[in-house]
Amino acid sequence: VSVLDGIAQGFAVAADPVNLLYVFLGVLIGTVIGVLPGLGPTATIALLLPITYGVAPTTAVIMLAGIYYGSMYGGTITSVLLRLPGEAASVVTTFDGYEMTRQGRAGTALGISAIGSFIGGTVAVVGMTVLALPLAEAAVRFGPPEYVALALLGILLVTYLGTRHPIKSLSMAVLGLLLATVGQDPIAGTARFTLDSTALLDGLDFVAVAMGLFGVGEILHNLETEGKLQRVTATITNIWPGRKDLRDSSGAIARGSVLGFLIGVLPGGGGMISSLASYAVEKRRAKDPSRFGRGAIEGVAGPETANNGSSTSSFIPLLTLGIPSNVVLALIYGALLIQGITPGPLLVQEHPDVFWGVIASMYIGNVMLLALNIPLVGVFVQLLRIRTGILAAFAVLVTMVGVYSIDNDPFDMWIVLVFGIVGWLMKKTGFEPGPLVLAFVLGPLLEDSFRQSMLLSDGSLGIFVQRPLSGALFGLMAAVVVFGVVSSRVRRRRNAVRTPTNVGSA
Amino acid sequence: LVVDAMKLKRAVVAVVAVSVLALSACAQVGSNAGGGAYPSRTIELIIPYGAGGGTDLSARILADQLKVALGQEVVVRNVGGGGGAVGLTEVFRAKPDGYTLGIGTGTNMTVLPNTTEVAYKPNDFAFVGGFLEWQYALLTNRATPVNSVEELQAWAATPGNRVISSETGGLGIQTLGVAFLASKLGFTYDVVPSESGNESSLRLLAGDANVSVSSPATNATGLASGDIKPVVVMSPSWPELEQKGVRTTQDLYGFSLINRNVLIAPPGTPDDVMQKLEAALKSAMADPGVQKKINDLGNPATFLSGADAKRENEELLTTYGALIDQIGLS
Repeated sequence: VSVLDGIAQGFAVAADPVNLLYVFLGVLIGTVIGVLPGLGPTATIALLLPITYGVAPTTAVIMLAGIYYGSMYGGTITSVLLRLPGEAASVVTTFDGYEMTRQGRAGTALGISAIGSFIGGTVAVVGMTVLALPLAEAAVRFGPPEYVALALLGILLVTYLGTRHPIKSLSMAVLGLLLATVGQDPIAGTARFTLDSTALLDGLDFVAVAMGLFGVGEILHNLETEGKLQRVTATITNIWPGRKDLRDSSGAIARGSVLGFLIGVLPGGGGMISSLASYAVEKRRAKDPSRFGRGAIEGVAGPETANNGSSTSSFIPLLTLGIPSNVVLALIYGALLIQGITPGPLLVQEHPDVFWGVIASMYIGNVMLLALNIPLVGVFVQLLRIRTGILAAFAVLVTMVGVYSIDNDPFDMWIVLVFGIVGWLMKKTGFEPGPLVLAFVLGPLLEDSFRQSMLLSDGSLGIFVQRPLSGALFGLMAAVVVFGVVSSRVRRRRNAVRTPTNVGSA
Repeated sequence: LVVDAMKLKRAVVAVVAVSVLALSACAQVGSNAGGGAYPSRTIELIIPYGAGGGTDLSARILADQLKVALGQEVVVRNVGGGGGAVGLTEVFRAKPDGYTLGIGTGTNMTVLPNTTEVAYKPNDFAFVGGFLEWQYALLTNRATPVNSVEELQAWAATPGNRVISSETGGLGIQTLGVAFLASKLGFTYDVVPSESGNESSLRLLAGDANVSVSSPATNATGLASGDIKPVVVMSPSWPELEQKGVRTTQDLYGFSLINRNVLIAPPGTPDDVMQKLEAALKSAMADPGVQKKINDLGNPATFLSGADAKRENEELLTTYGALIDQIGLS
């Protein structure tokens, strides 16, 4: 009953015309910066922070939150159309989303992403309304050993993503982990593989690496095979996902919603692990996993749903415990502190208008995003009608500007170009950038948590099985590996009986 | 219906185009050629830590008000890494024309130079002035039966108990605090390093660690609920805790941790520029709105003149250097 009272009060706050305007501004800005490769929610929110000093606290957070989950919608667009993932969470979307574009189904891919994002976001808001308080308590128990388990699970899933050659994906994942060690040692602070350059002290920037490998690499490849893409995309017909598409993706969206919501609650857990997990689940459940990486709609619907769900539920630890789980939320935390409000367990009692107002605004924001994005799908798809040469030049320009804007560091632009050439060579030799980039993001999480765990346990590996949560996670992982090996053996044997030439994949 | 859809599309394109233009205009860093009286163009303020932390947020509030006082844009740039040394190095090497400023902290101005080889000389910077002083206390969690230094000493000496300190990565002012107490009270301890102040407080709250030298900003929630408890105040003062009868290390041992955030300029910045900057800092700090916003982040806003800030820094650099040698941290 108190939840109902609260949410009713929240809607009263969120429906205030000024707040409505700020929700709209937030989601609009979020969509735009999501579309622009490189320019992400962190830089935008940091830039807009002074504007929030002058408005009411609820209004400020409503807008900043809108930018954050709005950018998740926008990030999909370039991943699908140009194979340019704007942030880690949408790397997975490039696998099947871009394939769908090549098959002339860009509109369907974007449409299903918008619908999935809406459902994922809404489910997470409902979950947050009902479960915020008990879940937050559980999330605190997630310490370094649990993160080791989570990161290992992520890397296990990464290698499983490899669509064609497991050995090639595995080697790319290893390369990704190695690249992640460039920069300062996270604990001792000593420089590693920096070649005495101060520019490398902070390590390689994820966005620059991803933009290079995926975007620039793909552009170079396209220019080489000039015009091919052009003919394929000239046949775009259906913008709305058809009945069959909706039926095919409904399961993926349902599972993605739950996964995204649960993973987002963990402090430091993030959009990327949720989209990765969702992709792996869908591929595992599919009757024909070989469709994945070749334009399977579930491979777009699931991860896009999950990353939106997680960006919403990541507000739970902030609003209920006062723990921001990433840099974007740390900035929102700061915006609240500056207004004299301390997020934490007492927030619901002391400032119910803030707590419930922000939650209610998310319902409204998600509806606005759906209304905003469905018509935009048609507009963005028109981008593909631009001649390849012009589109390629424009995409590179926008990428360079975006990457420069992260740290105002020209060095990052060189990284984009170097990794662009690497990405082009990988494409020619059949290596995939996906496992590399995902392992690159998971590397620091794995290293930090592992070393923290070792410091906590005084060097004993027992800590991973003695703690109930991490023990359970490691048990689950062992089960997944055993099940995977056994079932692929069985399938291989069956396939071998039916079609002697087919070699099982997984 | 088709026409409507087209119109809608056009409208949406227009809206997006305008938003993009507006955003890029906001983000634009003006760089019209100098000349004339200082300041005649955009000033860059380098924050040597990542976005979202206490130093970052307070510096952003300050930058916003300096803009008013100086009549020019003050653009903030985060240059993290090396415990705050990477960003300071950049300030140290910048052209001393008043268009590049930086934020110095207790960690990168008084501790790091004593423990690691840094590429700058802290006392050579031109000091505009101090604007924020951090409050510190040694904190513990609910599960640890310790409420004072005496109880900490007894608890740490009991076999089976292991003191684990939660710290932010690198050797900073907090490291110095724990190390000082450990040498005074004769206990040994292990460290769990974290990426940020928030994560470090979470480790203490979750019970992975049982002590942490930390500040009000990231512990307000825990202190209010009693999940986090103070043991001893380690900054010169922390009035809310002292009112509850918590002792200070200043009283007990004549020692306290001073971590002042200072606005600094590259060595050799001309005097007339420094005078303008100090006047601007002073007037920004006199603004009640700025004071309130900085105070609300958890640590008190206090103005200190450039000359006093420089003198204090010289003293602390020596005092901490001697302490670090004595307890063998370096």
